Amino acid sequence: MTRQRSTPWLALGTGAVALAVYPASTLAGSLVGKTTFSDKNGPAEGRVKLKLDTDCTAANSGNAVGSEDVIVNKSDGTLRNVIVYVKNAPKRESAKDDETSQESIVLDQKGCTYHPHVLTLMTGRKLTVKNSDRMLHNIHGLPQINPGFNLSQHFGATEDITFVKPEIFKVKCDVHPWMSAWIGVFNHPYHAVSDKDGAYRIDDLPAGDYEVVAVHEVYGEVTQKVTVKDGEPAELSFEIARPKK
Amino acid sequence: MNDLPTSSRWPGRLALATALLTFPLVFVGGGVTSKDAGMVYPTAPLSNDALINPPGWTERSETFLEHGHRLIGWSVGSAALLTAVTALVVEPRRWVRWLAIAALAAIAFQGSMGIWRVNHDSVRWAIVHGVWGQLCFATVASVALVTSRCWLDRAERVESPLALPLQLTAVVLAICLAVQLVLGVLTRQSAWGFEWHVLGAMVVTVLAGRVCFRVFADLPRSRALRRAAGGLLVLFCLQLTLGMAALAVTGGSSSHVKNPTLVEWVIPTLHVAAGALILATAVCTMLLAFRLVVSSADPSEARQGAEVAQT
Repeated sequence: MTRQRSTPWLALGTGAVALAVYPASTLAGSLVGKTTFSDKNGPAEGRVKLKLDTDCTAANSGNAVGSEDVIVNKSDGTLRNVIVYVKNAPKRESAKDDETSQESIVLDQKGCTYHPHVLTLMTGRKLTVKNSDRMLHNIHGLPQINPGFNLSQHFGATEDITFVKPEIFKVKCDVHPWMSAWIGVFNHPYHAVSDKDGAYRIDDLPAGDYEVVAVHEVYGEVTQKVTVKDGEPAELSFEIARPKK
Repeated sequence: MNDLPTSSRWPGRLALATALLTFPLVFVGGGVTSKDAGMVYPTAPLSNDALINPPGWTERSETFLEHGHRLIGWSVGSAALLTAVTALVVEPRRWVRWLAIAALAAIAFQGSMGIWRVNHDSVRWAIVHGVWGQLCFATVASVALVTSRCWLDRAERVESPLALPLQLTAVVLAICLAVQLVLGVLTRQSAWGFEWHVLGAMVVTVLAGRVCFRVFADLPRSRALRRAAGGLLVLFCLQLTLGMAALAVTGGSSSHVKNPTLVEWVIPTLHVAAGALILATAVCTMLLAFRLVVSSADPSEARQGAEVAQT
């Protein structure tokens, strides 16, 4: 009895505390969807088997490794590694405003490929680059707005990098020319990368009308509009096609 | 007849050695661009804090080419320094001494530019570095030519009523080749200007054909010029073949090719190296045309020219 009567009060109290501490999360919605390849301008590039050298082949236990720039799931046409971000999102000063973003994001060089191939992070948030391969890599960032960087790393080396301005740029290894990754830096937390099923999710987006952009390293970008309502997940999927020639 | 003093042969030998070292430097530098390996070591002049032997540099072609390029660069710089110092000490001709010093300065600038390009990760400076390197090779080859025995051999001098047209065409060819070189480097580094590079190839081929025709038709007695023109002809045939092969394997620009195969990087690199040889040969041909061919309209000038050969 006591327990039954107290439960609603407890829930109400917890809700009030949550509202006070996390006003944005309770008065915000989520944005979910999928990124799909459209073949209206021709088929997607096939996933190419990378030409690895002996050491890199050994680092992958002799297994073949495919390129990661274009990965279309054959079953449903969904496209992986697409950066999705809110274009006109409310800005935040830096990652310091968001306590959950204090831990660093890791970009690992493993088996002569970057893990993950595409990542996004907020300005000011730490990116830890590490080399798990028993060979030399250099991590050569090619930003246009942030300062460029080029780090030589032997096995086990780690290096922390932060970015101060939003942009999307490529990272490559000049020693192993097939290695590349993409980093999206934003001055707000409303960004994601489509996963192995082509799905993405952006949480805690305040209610409002937004322009949302999906960017793929090979096929370019697509912009769509969406309205997000409080507490309701909005759905927005993207069809990304090969650019017209 | 050779009237070069024995003591002054050393600048010629050293200049030839410098030129012979510079050619592999140009080839390996071209290989670095073909493999997009210029930034494998984030800083210069040290490669991962090592001057001579950075760990694992022979294991990947990218590190091998870039560090090898740096090592050969040091060697060429040292050889050019030795040539310039030797010329200053033993070379009697003032303008040759200055030419040797100019070659040294050009090579020092080239090395500094390479260091700057890496430390500032600058593609623009990489383009200038690519152009200047070939000009350095032509300058070093010129030093080797003017300190060689054939340059001072009076018996090589010939008279021709067509001296001036030959000399002018040779000058225009050298200038057009320099422009063509810039277009070639731009095409490789930035994928810009491919059409202009093809057009330039047609222009320089016509000009080179004209120079060679004049030498073979009008100057049958000049062995040195015939050798230079023959070399130019062979190099042009090779270069046009390599250009078409490079187009076939890269689509016109090395920057399009990611992770190139051996064929995909060696053929464009050979195209660059042959281009450097052509420019150097054309400059030497031009210098020989001014040195060895005297207008027959004024025979006294020919005699006088022969007498002042040592000045």
